[in-house]
Amino acid sequence: MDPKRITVAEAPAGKDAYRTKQRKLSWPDKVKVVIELQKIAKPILAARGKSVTVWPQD
Amino acid sequence: MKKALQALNGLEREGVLGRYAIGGAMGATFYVEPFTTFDLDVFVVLPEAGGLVTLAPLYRELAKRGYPAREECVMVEGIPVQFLPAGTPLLAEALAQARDVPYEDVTTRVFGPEHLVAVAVQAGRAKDRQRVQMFLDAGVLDRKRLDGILSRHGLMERFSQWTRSA
Repeated sequence: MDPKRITVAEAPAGKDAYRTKQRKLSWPDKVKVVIELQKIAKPILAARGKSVTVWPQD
Repeated sequence: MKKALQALNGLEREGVLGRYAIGGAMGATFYVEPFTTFDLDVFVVLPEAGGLVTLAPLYRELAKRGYPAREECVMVEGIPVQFLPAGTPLLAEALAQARDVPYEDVTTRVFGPEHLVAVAVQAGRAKDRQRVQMFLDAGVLDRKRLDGILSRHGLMERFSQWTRSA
């Protein structure tokens, strides 16, 4: 599926496929994703006054 | 995370910790897709002092080893680790039946998926409800085993409510 050309009808299937792919990652690779999510969330939480720690990469 | 797991294994080997297992969000991430979390929930058996379960001796020992307490966590190799006593029958069972899993070349222990769901149902927060749905979507649950755990710990009704309206 071309991600630049997707219909509304195709979107839920694409999302499910993405989630399945993420689920099948190895645990260390999932942790890498978690760290990327932490990096995204950190400034948002900081703006709300909450300090969080981004984990070091292995 | 590898260094933190190695440190936890060392603490268990040296008797600073009793048996430990990972639960919470990082435990769930072993089975479902990754999602945002900032701490590592580690469930442990703690020695009792005068009938009270206390984390103080563990925190003192960890501080000696260069792992300082910060708010409700201890910083272990740069990761905020929350040590939680397995102080309910459900948590004790989850810890006893936790499975050995590999993280690269390190072996650690994670709650089984059915116990993670039961613990989430018991906790009862909105984020726990979302987590239960992630497990259902992932198709990783042994429903017979889950039903047994939920029945044993009086959680079947809430689970049914959550999944009926999901």
